[in-house]
Amino acid sequence: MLILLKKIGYIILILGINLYIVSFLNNKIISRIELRRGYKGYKRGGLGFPFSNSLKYIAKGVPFSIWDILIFVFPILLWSVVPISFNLSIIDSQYNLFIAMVLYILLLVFRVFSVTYSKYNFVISDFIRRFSQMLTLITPVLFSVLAIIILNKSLDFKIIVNSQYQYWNIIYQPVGFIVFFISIVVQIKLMNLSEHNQFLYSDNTNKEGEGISKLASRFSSYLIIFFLITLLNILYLGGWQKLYMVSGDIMAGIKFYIIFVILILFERAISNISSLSKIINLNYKLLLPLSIANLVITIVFFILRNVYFII
Amino acid sequence: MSNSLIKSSLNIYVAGYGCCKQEIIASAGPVYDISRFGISFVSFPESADVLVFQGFYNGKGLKKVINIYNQMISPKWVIALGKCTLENLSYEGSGNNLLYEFKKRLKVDVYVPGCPPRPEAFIYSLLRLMEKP
Amino acid sequence: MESEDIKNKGSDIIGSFAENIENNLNYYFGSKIGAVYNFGKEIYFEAGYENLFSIIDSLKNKADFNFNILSSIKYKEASNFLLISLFSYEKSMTLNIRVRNSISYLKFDFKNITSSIKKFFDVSEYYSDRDYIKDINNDLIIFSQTPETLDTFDIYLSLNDNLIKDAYLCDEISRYNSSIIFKSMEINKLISMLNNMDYKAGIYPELCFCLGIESLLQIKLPKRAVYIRMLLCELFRVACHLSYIVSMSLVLGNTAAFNYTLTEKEKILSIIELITGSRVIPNFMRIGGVKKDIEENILDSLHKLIPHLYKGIKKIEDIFLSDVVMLEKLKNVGTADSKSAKASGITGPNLRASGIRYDLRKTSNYLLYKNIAFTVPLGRIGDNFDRLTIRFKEVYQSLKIISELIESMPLGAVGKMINPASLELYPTPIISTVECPHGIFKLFIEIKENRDIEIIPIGPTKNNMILCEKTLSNCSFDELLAVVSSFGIESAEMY
Repeated sequence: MLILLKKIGYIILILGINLYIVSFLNNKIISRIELRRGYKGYKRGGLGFPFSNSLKYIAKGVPFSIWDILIFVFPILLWSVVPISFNLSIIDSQYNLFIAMVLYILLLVFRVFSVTYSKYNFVISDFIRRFSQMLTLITPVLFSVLAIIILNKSLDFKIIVNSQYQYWNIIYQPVGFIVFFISIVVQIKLMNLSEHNQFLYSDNTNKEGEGISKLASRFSSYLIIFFLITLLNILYLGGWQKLYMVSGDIMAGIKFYIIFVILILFERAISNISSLSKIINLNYKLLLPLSIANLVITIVFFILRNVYFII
Repeated sequence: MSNSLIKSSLNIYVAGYGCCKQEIIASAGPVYDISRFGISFVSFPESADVLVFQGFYNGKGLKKVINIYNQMISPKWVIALGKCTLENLSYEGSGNNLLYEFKKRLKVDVYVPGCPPRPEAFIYSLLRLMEKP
Repeated sequence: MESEDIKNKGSDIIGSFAENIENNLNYYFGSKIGAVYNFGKEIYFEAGYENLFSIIDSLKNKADFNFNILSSIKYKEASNFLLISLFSYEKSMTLNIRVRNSISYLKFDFKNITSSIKKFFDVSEYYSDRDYIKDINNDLIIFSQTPETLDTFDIYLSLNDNLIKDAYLCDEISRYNSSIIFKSMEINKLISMLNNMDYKAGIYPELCFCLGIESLLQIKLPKRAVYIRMLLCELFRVACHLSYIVSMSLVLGNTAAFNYTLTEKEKILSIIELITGSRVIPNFMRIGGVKKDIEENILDSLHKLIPHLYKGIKKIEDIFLSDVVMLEKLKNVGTADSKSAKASGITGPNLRASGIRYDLRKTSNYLLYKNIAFTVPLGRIGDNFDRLTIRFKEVYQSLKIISELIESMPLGAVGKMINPASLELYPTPIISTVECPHGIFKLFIEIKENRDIEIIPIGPTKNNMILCEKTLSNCSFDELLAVVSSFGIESAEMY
């Protein structure tokens, strides 16, 4: 029991520190790209920016709905299944990957729902439109995850990581990695995850939020980014496998931040995508064919290998 | 305490249009870089803390601004910017003195003179607003 | 020498053309109209309300006139002022008809007038008060918001699923019915009041006013003064086009382009500040010249800056042209073909984007643009992409003009010694035009008795709004903001 509590404490501590560093880095990197200096602070010091910027939303007394609570709770639940390191996972199950994906899709549904459910009315057509937008992006991801599952013959994160002790999965699955990465970038773009406030204007899924609901959506958006990066890390880049002399946990941290910085750079380089048709075009013409081809090739290799072993 | 939290990262809603707006947009650029004080621009009055009242108005435009001010959630502040809003620039339907009309309905915290005020003046007004208890 | 002769001949032909029209007007209408004033490209006369529609009919249909475009209708309820201008691209000539009632204090029935003119020109409907559309088109209302492009009007839409059926740009928050009357004021003080009629390029209203008064007094300017005027005009044109690109990059969602453009704009503004003393509102033109001379070292530094500016702006253009996502929002979206562009009477870069070459700097010889070699860039089909890229091309041409001006800057005085207080101005109307960055900016100046001056600006904004409404009716909702902002609509004619 004590070990469990200790683990929960560690996970929350790591997430909190990461939140702070990432939001600070996000601000600095984005501003450096745009020839600015980033937050410097006036009499309060630039280091306190992430705190003051998020705590500010609590100061305005505004009521919040049930969707905000769900959005706040579900991303934390995600981390009970997804292991940050070899020891830091609460639920050890054989079907961890499956549970994580289900939770993730549910979270997306809640997020889209909370956007369309404004205080004026609820627009079903808008909900379906946005949800189909998200779903078209998730299907290629699911296909490439399926390819990984077939490759490593497991739904358990730990087995997937352990099987990469010699070569990372990216060597066997380069196409799947590319599909996964592109869809992450577009998801971040679509959901406006990297909350960038320069003249907020016609941003797609940006809630006219205020108060705590804004804080919840910001929190969950960062945790979704963490989840996606960790998933990418575990599935393709060897997770907490140690590299030469460097120990596994440090390796995982280094990979996490490298992927995060690259993601931000990609996100800034692409301008806002607002129309549904363009995304569906991108999806059906590029991502879906690639991911299906990747899956088919893996299945064929899988069968051939089994046949070879039998002979 | 809560006021100082909000003031550490202000959200601005700019109402109206005109010459002063050019300078406000210039202050958002990399040369003047207003975002280094944690200030950002928003387009929903609900999520704004400061209303910047500037530019040209007629009667209908003035009604709209007051409507925007009522939609904002307190605590909220108002900055009046530029010659047109400070002096007696009378337009049709807005009475003789625009600011007098405006002040009857809401409280202005900072006045910024100039035609148009430079971006430095605009940033300085916001810093003064932050200093206020 | 030969080339100068040819140029002079060309200008003579245009001059005789205007006289032809003047003679024809007198021949056809005779006593129906008042005295005909000729201001180069603009012809002005007064007509009674009873004869108005017969005059418009013959102006449109008779082969001698053939003025087939309604350029603007300006109506001021307070002072009972009505000015109708007709335009022809082939002749590049504008007819301004000032309508007067037989009983002067009787007010016009404006609704009736617009509906009668609609028989000749369909566009006339857009000038009338169309508040009834608000009740029909209210599927979606977009109120004026913070960012640049959407701040002077509201948009009322009627939607068919995701397609826009009908759009109505309601400019009621930027509509002013009064006109400015300056009572026995010194003319030089008056110049400082005109700037905010075009708040993105403040030099143009001043220039327009000074040109009008100078043509009345027939003052010949020193060459250096004219060159300095041209230099400032081009600097402001670059600044204005850059601010257009700023708003475009905001709407398309590329913040990198937004920031790069603002840095380039700051460079231009700092040069303008060195010359005039102010960033936005210059107050630099004077009747008979300019306020003060430009120092040589400022000219030198500007000359050295131009290659850097060119490089920087080229970089921004590359950002726009290389981004696939942005190109899809620009290409073949919001296409305004040349026919509808002509019918709505637009001028300026938006017209040139539709493929019609019409630039006042080339067609009429105001200032000394005929001494300088530059081309007028053209678009092909008039979509968002053309409207954006034509601004880039015009910026390059302006930079070229600026460097040419600095290289051939003559020495000498920068103004005539004129005391504006002692000028004797007799009562007369004046119309003067200027090619401002958005289109043709026109000032109607009426000098009354007691030295009162009434000024009414007629800007290009209304025509752009008409064309914007027309093109919006076939777009999808996702493209709305890009299309609206690509027209660069701003309220220039506030009064």
